[in-house]
Amino acid sequence: MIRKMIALSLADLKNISRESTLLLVLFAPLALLLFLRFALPQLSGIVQAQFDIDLREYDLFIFAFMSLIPSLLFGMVSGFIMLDERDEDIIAFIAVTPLQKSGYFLYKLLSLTAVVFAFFFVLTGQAGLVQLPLLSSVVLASLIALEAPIGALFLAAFAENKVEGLALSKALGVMYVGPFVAFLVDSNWQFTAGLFPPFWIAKAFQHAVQLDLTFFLYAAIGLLVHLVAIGLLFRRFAQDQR
Amino acid sequence: MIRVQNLHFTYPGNEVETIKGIDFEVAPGEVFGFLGPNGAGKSTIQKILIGILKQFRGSVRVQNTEMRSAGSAFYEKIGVAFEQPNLYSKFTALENLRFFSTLYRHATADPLELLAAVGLESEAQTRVAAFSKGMKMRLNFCRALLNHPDVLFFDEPTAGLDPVNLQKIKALILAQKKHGRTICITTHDMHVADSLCDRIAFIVDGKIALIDSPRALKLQFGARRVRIDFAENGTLQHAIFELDQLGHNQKFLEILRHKQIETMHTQEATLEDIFIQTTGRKLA
Amino acid sequence: MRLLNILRYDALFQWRHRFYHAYFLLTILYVLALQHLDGAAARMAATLFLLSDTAPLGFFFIGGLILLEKGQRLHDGLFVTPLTVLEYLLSKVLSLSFVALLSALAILLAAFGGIQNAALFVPGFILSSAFYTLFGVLFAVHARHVNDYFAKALLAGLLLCVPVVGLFGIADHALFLLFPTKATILLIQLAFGEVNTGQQIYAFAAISLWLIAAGWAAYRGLWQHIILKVGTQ
Repeated sequence: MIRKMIALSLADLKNISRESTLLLVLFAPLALLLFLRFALPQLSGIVQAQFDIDLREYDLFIFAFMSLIPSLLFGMVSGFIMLDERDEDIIAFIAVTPLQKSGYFLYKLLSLTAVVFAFFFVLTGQAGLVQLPLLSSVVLASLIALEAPIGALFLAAFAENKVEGLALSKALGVMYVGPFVAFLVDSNWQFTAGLFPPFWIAKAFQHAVQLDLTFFLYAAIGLLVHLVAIGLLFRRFAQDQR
Repeated sequence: MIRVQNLHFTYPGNEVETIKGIDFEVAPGEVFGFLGPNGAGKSTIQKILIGILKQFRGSVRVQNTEMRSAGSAFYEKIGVAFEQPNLYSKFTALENLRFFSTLYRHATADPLELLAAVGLESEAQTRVAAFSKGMKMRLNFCRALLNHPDVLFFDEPTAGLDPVNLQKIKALILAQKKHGRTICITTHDMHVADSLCDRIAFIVDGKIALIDSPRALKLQFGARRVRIDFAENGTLQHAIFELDQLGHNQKFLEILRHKQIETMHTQEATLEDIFIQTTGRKLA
Repeated sequence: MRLLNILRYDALFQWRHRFYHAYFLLTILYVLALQHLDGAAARMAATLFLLSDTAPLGFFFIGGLILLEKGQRLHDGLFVTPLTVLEYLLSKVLSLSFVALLSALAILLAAFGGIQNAALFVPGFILSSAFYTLFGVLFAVHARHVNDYFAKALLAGLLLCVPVVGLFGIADHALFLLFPTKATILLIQLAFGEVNTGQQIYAFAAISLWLIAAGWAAYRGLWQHIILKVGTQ
């Protein structure tokens, strides 16, 4: 199993480098990092001057939101790889090789999760926006990493082909109002956004520096919501495959 | 109907000509086949005949249209079906045909009648995504007939089909011939060429190596002999006779009368034999 | 007539693939967001939404659309009918601009209660939207996969976005006038009555020129990479 997965990874890497998808996957997080590090301070000054809003009060929110972007991006990229392969019947081909379909998707989703997990630490280390305790970082990175397979599975489960995938990826973006609601809406109505998994990550972020009990409460709910979402999506996806 | 004179074609960026000077004519109502291995230039010739490639030298006229200046009006008169089906998989069979009919100015065939003709009437409301390859090929065939075309072009019409669907497609093509349509087929399947075409052209290295009816070719290149296999004293024997004056050949008649005959075959050449003999190449 | 027919089917295709549903959702989201802002901030946010998401709607979808057609070999079927390349492109551009325009009008009407210069805003927005779709065609004809399309097209698209810094007042430069995005920003701001006559003339002239250039290049790209390959295995 492991050997076969390594073989698939190598094939993927080859594909990625040939197809310039690598460019997208590497360039976008890099741009994100550069934005947080260099452009945001500039922007803060301008927004302060023009609209009298102090963006520095929103540092934690901005960082929370930005740190979720790679998971959305990577989720979409692998979702589209799956849809492209489905449009070209590659999945059907792999299903008859010893690896089997479930192994194939496990591999896709695991590698995706691992990359997003690792990138969170690059972001916290390099963006210089907020200082988080290590334990907070590990918990948050895990939750964010689980976000990526949700995007990928959402596209693969509900889109019949790549064009529908594009439309659905727009709808997927709506999920990311979760963090906005978590940080910007004060009333308890905000918890209606709890249907969107990123909401709980944002709530956990609010308590990440203190690392208090509430942090773990939100993280636990977040974990549960993510696992349920992944489970439901995977079931729906597996049904479609039959 | 189709007249090609001194046709030369070079793909942009290539130094070597893909088509190296060919001439042929296809008469109205004729089924004409281009037979040859992959890369010989069959598809290129067809793409010139349907007005996709225009940077050729020589003269190509289809239905009195000089192909160098063929535009929208030309496509009102022809129907084309490629090897791979080209259909919207999210639309139903009927929706696909309705869509393609809206692209023609003239009265088009009734999609439901076409579907019935290819045995897909019960699948009219099914999305193409759920179709098998054979069903898609038949639907694709309907698509090519929507505008009552005068000339039909089929590119490898039977590739990858199971025997049942193969027979269906062959019957459909022959039915179109009965309607008096001119039909051009490219194929590397000699059985298809043999059973469908009035005349065939062997294409090798961008040239026509040979052009004639399959029957004439088989007779010309074959031996006028018959081979009989028969049982004698419990063992299988065979004998070969000249076809000429066969009715007066006493030895032949004797075998017919007294032996138990297992098989009897005339020794005409197959198209594949002829192809190898004239071009020194294999077909597939 | 033929154009109208293919337009109808392109629109149906986009409906079936839930373009309208997705943008309905996004429109609601933008309107909700805009209601939490007021005055200059709301106008700037709306300009950003329309510029970054609504106007380039066609740019976002055209890669997938052409790739899917390629995959289903639809070009083989389409370009052996009387349909011309021009009609094919026009249909794509108009059907996609239509969705974009609907969404833009809904956002502006719901969030601001009205549109100033509507008679200028509507054609200006359609021209902008058409430009981004054709710009996408340039990359779509080469692309092999959706991700491949986005990698190349987004990078090029980012270059076009340089004048956005002007929108934030970070920096402005006369050279920005050379960018189609500068024209689009002005054409969107028309809806808020913030654009003077000189800017209007510039914006319409610039976007028209860009549109012609992109249209010509898209037409050529389609011929070279799609039409000439019709029927190729």
